Amino acid sequence: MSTNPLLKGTLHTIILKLLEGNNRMYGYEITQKVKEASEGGIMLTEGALYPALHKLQAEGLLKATVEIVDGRARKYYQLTGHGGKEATDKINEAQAFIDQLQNILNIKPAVK
Amino acid sequence: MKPTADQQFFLGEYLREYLAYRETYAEFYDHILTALEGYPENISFYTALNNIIEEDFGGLGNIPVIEARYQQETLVEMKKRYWNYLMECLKFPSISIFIISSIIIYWFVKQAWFNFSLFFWIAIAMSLFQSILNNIRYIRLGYIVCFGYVFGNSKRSVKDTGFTWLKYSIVPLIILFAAFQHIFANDISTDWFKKAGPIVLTMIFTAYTIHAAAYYKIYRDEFKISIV
Repeated sequence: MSTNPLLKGTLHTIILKLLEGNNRMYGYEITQKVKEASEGGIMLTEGALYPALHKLQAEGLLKATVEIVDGRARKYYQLTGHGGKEATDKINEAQAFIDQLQNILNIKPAVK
Repeated sequence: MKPTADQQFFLGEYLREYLAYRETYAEFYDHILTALEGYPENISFYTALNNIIEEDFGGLGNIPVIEARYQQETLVEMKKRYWNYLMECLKFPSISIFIISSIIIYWFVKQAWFNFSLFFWIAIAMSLFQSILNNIRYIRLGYIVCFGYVFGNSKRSVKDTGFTWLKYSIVPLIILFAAFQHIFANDISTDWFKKAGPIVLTMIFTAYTIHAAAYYKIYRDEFKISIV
């Protein structure tokens, strides 16, 4: 993932959010979508994406289907019913955290 | 760039050397080829390949780490699914089938009491079921397996560890079944044991059939993944 430590812990939320907005996506497509949406600010690198996808799949939040595209197997991920609910919760949680952080950052320094 | 057939072959062989599992192999191969298609023609194939492996996978050294984590997650997921299938068997309507089958097994055990050879073959059949199903799975996956090793172009599946765990998890129950029936059949048990014998063996056998049903469902799930 991006070297920015602030992004750690948000990868699952990012994946769930992307899959909420798209019916199904494959690994490389997810990295490109994140790059595009963040205008290159966030890059899913260092092998963080696949462990995250596999973990979400193991937790039953994602399901995978394999299709043959251009003569090779392509694995698509999509949200399960449970994953859809989890996506909504995680996004709300992230939004609430951002709002709280925003409030803290907006505190004006006390006048001496 | 559009990788040539030779470059695609090179990539396949290169990844085959570093990846242990067929699932990660297929996924990474597709990822790298798709990423290569996004590279301009003026960059060499090898430079582009190294960049992708470095940036997207954290380098070749990180690949075994990714695979080990994947295998661990898969094992946890398979155990969870196995447990859910076991619980499903104890709910209506499956439970009614197991109650009826338990009554039949009990009757069968009572009738065949002290028939050592029959119980011996039942215990053998119980053990063989796991191995037979596992070997059918290998054949369906196109494995070339000999003495536990995978040969040729076939690669191991990340689910193999889960299936091995499922295969051996029931061994204590089979040993228990064999031990109990041996105690009863050889008339070395007490009166209480003799009375409880058919019930105990029915319970063990029913537990085994529930396990076998869950094991079969997990086996069946693997081939449900749609390949369009």
